[in-house]
Amino acid sequence: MSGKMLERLQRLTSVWGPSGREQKVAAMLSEMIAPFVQEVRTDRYGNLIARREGVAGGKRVLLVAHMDTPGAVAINVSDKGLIYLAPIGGLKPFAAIGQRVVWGSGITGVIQHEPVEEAKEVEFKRLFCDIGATSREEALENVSLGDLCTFVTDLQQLEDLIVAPGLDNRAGCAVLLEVAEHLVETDHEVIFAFTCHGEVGPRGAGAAAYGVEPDLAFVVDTTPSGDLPRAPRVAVRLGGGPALKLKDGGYMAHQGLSGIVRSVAEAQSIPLQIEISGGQSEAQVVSAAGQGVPTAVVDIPLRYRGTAGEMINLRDLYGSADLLLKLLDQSLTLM
Amino acid sequence: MLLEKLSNACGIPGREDEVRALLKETLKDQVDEIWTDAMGNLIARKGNGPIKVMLDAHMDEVGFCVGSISEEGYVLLKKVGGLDDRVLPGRQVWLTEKRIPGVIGAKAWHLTTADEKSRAISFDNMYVDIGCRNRAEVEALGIEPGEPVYFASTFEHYSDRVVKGKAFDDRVGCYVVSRVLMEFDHPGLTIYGAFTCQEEVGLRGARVAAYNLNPDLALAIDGTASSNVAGVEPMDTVTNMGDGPVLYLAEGAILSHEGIFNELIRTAQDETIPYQFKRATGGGTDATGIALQRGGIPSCSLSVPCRYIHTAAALCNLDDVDATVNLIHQFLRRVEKGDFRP
Repeated sequence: MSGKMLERLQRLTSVWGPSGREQKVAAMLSEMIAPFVQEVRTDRYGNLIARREGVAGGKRVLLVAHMDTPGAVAINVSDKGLIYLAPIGGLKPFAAIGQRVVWGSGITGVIQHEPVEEAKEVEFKRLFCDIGATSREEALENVSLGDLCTFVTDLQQLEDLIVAPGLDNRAGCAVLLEVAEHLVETDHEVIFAFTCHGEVGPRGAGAAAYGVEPDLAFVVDTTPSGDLPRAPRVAVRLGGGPALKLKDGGYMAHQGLSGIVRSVAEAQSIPLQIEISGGQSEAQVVSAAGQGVPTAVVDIPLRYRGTAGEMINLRDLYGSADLLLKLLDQSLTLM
Repeated sequence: MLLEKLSNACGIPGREDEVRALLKETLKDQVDEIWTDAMGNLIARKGNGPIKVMLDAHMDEVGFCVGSISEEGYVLLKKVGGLDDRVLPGRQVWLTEKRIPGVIGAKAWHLTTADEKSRAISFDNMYVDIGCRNRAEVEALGIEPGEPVYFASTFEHYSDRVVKGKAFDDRVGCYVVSRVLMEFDHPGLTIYGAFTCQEEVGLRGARVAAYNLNPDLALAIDGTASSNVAGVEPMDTVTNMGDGPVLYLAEGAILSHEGIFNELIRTAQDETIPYQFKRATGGGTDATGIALQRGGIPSCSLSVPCRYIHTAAALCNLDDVDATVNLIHQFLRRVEKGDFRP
């Protein structure tokens, strides 16, 4: 286990980039992946596309990870200079209360809720961000309506476990970088797409897949683990290895490609969990892009999604990268 | 006035023929080319410049269609688009494009119980009374399942600048785009006025239009909800009718293209055109459908604030309309001069 995964996670979770404002993340990823590929560009949607050339007879394989995080947008400022918010992506009010956030301008603040008697009265429209301004005018000098904020970053390591905001899906981005670095010999043309608007829709991945026209695609994302009290009853746990998604609210796995994933994991003794979940993933828009793209999803189990303390296990990240590398050694011929 | 004709025209999703015919007749001598695509979108091209700009406005309006006819001669409705049950009882409607008058029956006040008065009538219990005594009389009028039903509401001026009508969402957008095409020349651009269908049931027409036209950038012009009315705190009005064109801080389904969004703001500031932000998220416009076509199309929503949209009587302020037309024109000039590229 090299130390690079941790180092990459530290860099990637420190960069600011909520949905729609991914430019800084794209710039960092562009620099990080450049040594391993022949071409890096940004498409019209804002997705970062990095291409590694293949040889004749290989397939064009797309690896997708969204690079945005949830956040909040300033929609109102009170006379007292408190900034009222609306969610961008899956930010829940309980996850935001008491958290420190940073705005695009670099200004920081803390999110609080108007006083309530009971927890059930908590709602997003009553959350506000206090940046220390004393009037509406002063607040608007620092934060404009339409500006976005995200959690202040802070990464902690507990043995194999990593805790930080934004691991969904900077962890997926780190896995793609690991794959790019260690991809030595493959016939396939491999295209890495770090996509926009993964938390709102998802959206950007569809445009990326349309533009790339791949023969097949792997989406790398995170998935809520089921090893917690009252968690969704999914058989995915932290540390159990990458999870192969068979179904979610907008996607049914491609039988042939997921069969290859399972047989490669078995042959290489890579622990693989099977995931059936709700919600939506980028696989929905990738698989339906253009004339259709056979798509598999390799998910990293994650606890406490959408909070400032998302938790993952480094071994699952290495397992995901290992699985993808072994897959890219195969002919990936679909029946 | 064109806005009056557009508001009075009828067109639920999929039945936009009247609106399309009106726009085609109005624009055919003012543009270089005009056609209807396979989906039913009317596309008006003006100019042949290197930059392709799509100006989208949807032709359809929310309304109803006939669901069934009872033996007693009442017409039961299905909704087409988002409608609030509470604004429907007692409302006059037009059935079919022949505009056969009817009323969504509501029990007289004298006959309702205290309990009924405190509750909204459920849509399942609503019916249209057109004065017929049995099913045969209704059918003899050409009313059959699937035929459209509209709010019976005619355009009028409430004051010199505030007008009332149905379907301002989005005939006000059709009006704005028509005026941009008719009043200005932008020879450096190819402008496609895209008057789209079926927005209210899932942004369907705009997706097809954007896929076919594959523009370099798109603006979706719509009428959006405004709530600067009695009893609403200033922070909760979402938009204010009379305060100028509306830019979206975030839509429910998508985020505006940052470059276009910022350029529209710069344009408004430089030209001293009023503008405002929609201070809520949620909802979506054709920009959502357009942005996701092909490899992504830089798209942004720009709306005219209207009170009481999706009801029989929406209001809009003509100053907001003029400002929206002017903002689009000034923005297009910048694109044409090369000052801005998405």
